[in-house]
Amino acid sequence: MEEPSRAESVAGEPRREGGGLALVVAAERLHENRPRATVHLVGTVWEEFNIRGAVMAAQYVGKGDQQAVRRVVKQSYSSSLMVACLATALVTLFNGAVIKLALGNAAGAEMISAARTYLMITCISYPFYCFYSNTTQVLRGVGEPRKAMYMSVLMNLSNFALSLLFIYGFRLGIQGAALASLLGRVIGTLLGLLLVSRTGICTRLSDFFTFKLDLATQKTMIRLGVPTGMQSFFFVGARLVMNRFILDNGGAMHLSANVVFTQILDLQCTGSTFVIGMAPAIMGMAKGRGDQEGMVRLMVGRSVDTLFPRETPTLGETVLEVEGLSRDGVLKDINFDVRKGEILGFSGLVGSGRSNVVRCLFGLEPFQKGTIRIKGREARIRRPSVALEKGLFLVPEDRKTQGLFLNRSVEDNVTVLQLLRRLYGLFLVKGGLRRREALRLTEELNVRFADLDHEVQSLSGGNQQKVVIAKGLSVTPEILILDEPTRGIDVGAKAEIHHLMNRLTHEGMAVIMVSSELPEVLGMSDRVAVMREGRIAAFFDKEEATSEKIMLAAAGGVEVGAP
Amino acid sequence: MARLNWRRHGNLAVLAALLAVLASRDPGVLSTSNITNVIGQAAVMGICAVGMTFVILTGGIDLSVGSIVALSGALGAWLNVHAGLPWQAAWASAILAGTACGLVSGLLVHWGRVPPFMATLAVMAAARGLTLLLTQGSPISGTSPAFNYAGWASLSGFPVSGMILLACATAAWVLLRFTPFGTGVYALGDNPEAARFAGIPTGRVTVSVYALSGSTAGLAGLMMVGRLWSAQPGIGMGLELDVIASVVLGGTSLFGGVGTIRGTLTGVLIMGFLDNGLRILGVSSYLQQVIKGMVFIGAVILDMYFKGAYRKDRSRDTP
Repeated sequence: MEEPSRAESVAGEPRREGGGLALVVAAERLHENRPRATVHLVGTVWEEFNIRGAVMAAQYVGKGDQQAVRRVVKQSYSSSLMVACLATALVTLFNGAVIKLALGNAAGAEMISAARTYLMITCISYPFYCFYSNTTQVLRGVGEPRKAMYMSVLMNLSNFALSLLFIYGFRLGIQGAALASLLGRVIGTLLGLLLVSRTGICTRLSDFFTFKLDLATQKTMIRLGVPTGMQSFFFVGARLVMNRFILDNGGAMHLSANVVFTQILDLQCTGSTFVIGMAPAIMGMAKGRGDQEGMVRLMVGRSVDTLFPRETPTLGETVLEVEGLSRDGVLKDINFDVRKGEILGFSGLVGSGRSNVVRCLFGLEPFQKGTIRIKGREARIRRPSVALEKGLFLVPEDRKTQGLFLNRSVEDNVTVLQLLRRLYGLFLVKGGLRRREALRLTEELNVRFADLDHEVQSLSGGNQQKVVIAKGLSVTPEILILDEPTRGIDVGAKAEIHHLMNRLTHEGMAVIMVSSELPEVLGMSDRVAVMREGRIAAFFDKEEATSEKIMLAAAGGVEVGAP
Repeated sequence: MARLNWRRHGNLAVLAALLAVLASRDPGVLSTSNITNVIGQAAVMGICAVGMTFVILTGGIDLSVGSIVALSGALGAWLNVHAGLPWQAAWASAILAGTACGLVSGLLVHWGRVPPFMATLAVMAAARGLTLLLTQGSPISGTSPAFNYAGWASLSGFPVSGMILLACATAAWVLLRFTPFGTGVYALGDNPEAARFAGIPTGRVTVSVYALSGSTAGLAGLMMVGRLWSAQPGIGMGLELDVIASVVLGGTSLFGGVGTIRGTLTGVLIMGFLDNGLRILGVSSYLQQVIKGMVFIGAVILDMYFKGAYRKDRSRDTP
């Protein structure tokens, strides 16, 4: 496949601003006789609009709430429909005036009739087109359907204007240009429908139009890049800017973003052929013929073996020792230790007591027997506050109910531990210091948010998780406990968290990771403890750990290598 | 994209609308003398509301404030009149008594795991009983002028009780905004489980907010005595409703975690002017109760609305 290398090369380049503008400029080259200034001006204005829209889209991309997504889609779709009806009505009534506006008085009769056809089809095909474009951009948007709707309207209008601009721009070769764009759009739309109905993603077309698809399907569709790939290139200018923002905002859109990005840069305005050209590739992936690695590579813009990029650790002294930890009916004689710079993975079936171990460590559950030693000194941890003082931090299993104050701002969430402990002078909290700390931590963890003051529930799952981790790092713990660190977050954020784990251990932190995801445990841990029925059934070193061995130990096949 | 936040600023709009309506009926409503009068009248309720804000922010409720107002007033007056204590000592003991009542509620809620509604209802009954025991059912009058000063006096036209309210509100604002305790209050109200994970001493915070509400109610009770120049055993009945209404009108969510002191002050002014305006307009006192009840329900329904309880898809935000 050629795309990955291209995608990488593009991602590696400095950001190229003004995709939409590039199109306009290219159009301009085709007819030097027009005053440049006007074209530039119009182009820049729309560029500006598009960027605004894209920023908004980016802010709302990245949440997986099914109901919210449906709401957004419906709103967006109905708004598109309204715009289409309105535009069609307007064009029907005033097409003469519109064409005159775009082409000037010099236009010949042939050109005018071509432009009229073009305008009509532009308007009528809007609902289809919009469903693929704007709705999908906001498909994962949440919460504020009205904003999504505004955005959709804005995008539609800007696209409409781009169409006009192109009629204007291509006045020398108007028939050819109009025809190409019509064909591109119609074929793109039809192919999209065909693709969706043929690949078993959706059994009935009516489901598709009434939005009865479940979230997983819709996500798959976005990942495949069907919607974005199927557009005629006239509209890619706007889309391009948007995609680039989305590129910066989570993994799911990367495929489409990368592919469209590279294609459009190469093809510039050679025609709408690329729409048809790339359809088979997408189709292949949709049908599951594309290999998973290739898909991931496309999506995240890097190879799959860097997904669990555990570096060789430099181990320091033992920081945490647990001896004979027992809790009636839940845990039995748990022994383990963790060294500086090490990641100890806990695997096992759900209910085997993995989470209970870390909850006991953090003082959330009482235990009857056993000693915990931190740096050789016995620690009696009865409450989370004590655990925090001793340099432990637990990133909980469920970030929404246990980790975050959803109605509070990002800043509040990140600095809450500091507020409770360190960020106050004698008595009062230092406001400026607090904001600086929040900025520092969110920057360090690359948390993406629109504003520090926004509620944390407006962030995507991955960014919420990063906020929880940032909260922990704010008090510089020595032992970081991660309970399901990457549950329910997208590939990009996952990789970021894994890189972060590497960095933290490199800096000398000890990490305990509980995970249900076997590849994650295998990829990230230096040692794996497998639990079964409240006991540690086996320990494996990184070299000897395989998924078969772990599953066997977790399910109770053979006991191997007890310490 | 600065959108008007109705949850936070809607109460100001309500206040403005109320004032506009009242002023259109009787311009005298906006006169300085009437405004200071309203502030003086609302101060007692306002001070209770400041304490109540803390409780409601943690997601609790305190129904005992009305009874604590009566108890602390009666105790203070009794100590001042019958035991002959100077006003400072009487005040201190009465506020301590209020704090103790709050402490009992708090401990019942935290240690006893009694729902706040039940715990404070019990304390409400008990405090009322204690008041009646102490006063034998008849008013205590004859408190010293110094004792009464805070309740009725005004300094250059502004009531002292209003100043005390402002002082309390400022202290509460600082407490909520700039101290670890305030962080704990908001955190506990927003997500008790996450608060526990963050190492917040949830028990201590819970007990503290009820004690705080008790002590503000105690202070309010003493000012009530000053206002009336006597301690009435039956005073403060139904006060809790006004207090809770003004807190909720101020945008503090009954579900906890959301709300400000500034909002509470606005809510207090709304209730104060409503009271005052209805009286000026000559609405009968029975009907006034009905109207207040409706206003309260309106505020609660708005709170539910902001919480998202009426959204068709109850996928999130629902209590």
